[in-house]
Amino acid sequence: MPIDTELILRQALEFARLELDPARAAELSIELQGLVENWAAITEAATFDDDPAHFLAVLSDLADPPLG
Amino acid sequence: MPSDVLELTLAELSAAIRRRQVSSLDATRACLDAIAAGDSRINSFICVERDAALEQARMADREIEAGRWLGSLHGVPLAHKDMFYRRGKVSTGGSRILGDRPATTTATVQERLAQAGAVYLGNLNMSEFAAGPTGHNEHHGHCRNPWDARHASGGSSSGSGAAIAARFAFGSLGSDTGGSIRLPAAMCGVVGLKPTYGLVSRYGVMPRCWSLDVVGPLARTAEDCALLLRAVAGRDDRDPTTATRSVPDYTKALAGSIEGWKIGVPRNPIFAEVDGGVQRALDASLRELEALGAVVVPIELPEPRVLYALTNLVNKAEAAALHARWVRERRDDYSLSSVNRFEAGFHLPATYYLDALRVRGRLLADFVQRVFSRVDVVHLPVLGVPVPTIDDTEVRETAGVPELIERITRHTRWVNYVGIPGLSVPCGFDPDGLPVAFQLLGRPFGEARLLRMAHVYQQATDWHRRSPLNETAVGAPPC
Repeated sequence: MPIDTELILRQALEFARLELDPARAAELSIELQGLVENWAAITEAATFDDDPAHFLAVLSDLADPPLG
Repeated sequence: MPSDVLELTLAELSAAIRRRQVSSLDATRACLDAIAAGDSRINSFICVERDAALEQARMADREIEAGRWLGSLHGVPLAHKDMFYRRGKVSTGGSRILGDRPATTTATVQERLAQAGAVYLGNLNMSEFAAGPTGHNEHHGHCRNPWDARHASGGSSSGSGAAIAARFAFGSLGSDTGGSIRLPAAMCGVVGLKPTYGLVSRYGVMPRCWSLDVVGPLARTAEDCALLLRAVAGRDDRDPTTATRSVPDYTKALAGSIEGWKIGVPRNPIFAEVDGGVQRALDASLRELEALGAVVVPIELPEPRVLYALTNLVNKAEAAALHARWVRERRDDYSLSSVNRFEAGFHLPATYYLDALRVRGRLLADFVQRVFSRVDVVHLPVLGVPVPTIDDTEVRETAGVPELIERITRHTRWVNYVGIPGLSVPCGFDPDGLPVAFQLLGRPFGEARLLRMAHVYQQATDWHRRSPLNETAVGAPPC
């Protein structure tokens, strides 16, 4: 899944009204690239039909049984 | 009083206090004297509450003498990461920004420890706003490793790991968003437990990332962690994410064997990159656990790198939201490493963040089904590299630091995304004499199982009895 990190970065900088020097922007761009590099794998992993609030219930449902 | 009271574990001290072989006052004074003599070498405390701690200890002794023993933490000197609020007192969160803001409430975990009669020694150093796995702190000074002060303590609960290893306190609460309990525990050679998400209240605790944050104990032994966890775990109506299930007696659960328990050892390619010296200690720990009756089973984990990326999405987006105003208005009051981390979240599309949360329950169920249908626990590194030096992980100075940070956090960070418990257990030393630890993962709310396995291991080994050289310097400032 191609990600235009430079575009996202420019938009984000404008949105957040942050003033960053080029070196800082480059660092952040590298970090962002690291975040999204596995995105294709992520999208293949699930169908995105879960409610985030469901997570606590899933934890409880899958709990370790008491030790004997 | 035993001359080596500081070498007692929390459980041993507790028993001695109850039997009145050791007074809380003597134990507390021994801790305070050790801090005064040696903390400048490792900088584990932000401040010490000497007079208040001594008064609490005297009160505990009076109560116990009168037959009013409150339980296993009564009179036991503890110290905590500087992010658990107490009304009217400052918790800096390791930051400059919170340094002049007295808290308006008291954390539930603080209330529970106070009700249990624990003594509060002071506020421990931490990474700024609980962000950073090494223990660097530009505002309060870097926390240093008691085994070699040139090396990092680990973070973000840096002072917790360092102070417990240095025998300055008998137990500590830390927080863990991606390894912040387990990493300092591993790097300093103590036990650290990241509980299941929702087991321990976060009310009155400085947030780092609300979908991932948990509060948990660090101490010298699994038994000590069991005592601390029992005291703070359980439903809190002021934190609606806490589970309603009853809290087991973790100490009772320590009794018993691990005969026949299946230990999953991941064989994913990422684990082939573990440092050789670290791997030798991990392998030795597995042989010991096998000798104690466990069965080692090779397994394949759901791809940790995917879970790691998802964790980063949640972590950075929530941290950016939490810090948005201060980043804009007080940017110069942050360290560079912190503001780098928080600003990154501004650059993530909201849809990525929401998708990462939407698939979380599904991926947890997949993880549990694929892993814990085959094994009882998973055994893996806490960090797969030797404990780094402070200089090697200094953001301002060193190229390649982001890659090293990824290496440090790659086996801990994603565990918070799936929400399961993780326990760091010391299991030896690398060739440079720095601690190595293994990590145990279990099913949700499987803390009792992890603690039993670690306890059985510690009964058969003595890594937790090893003490860093006690080179002395000067103490920490008063609160």
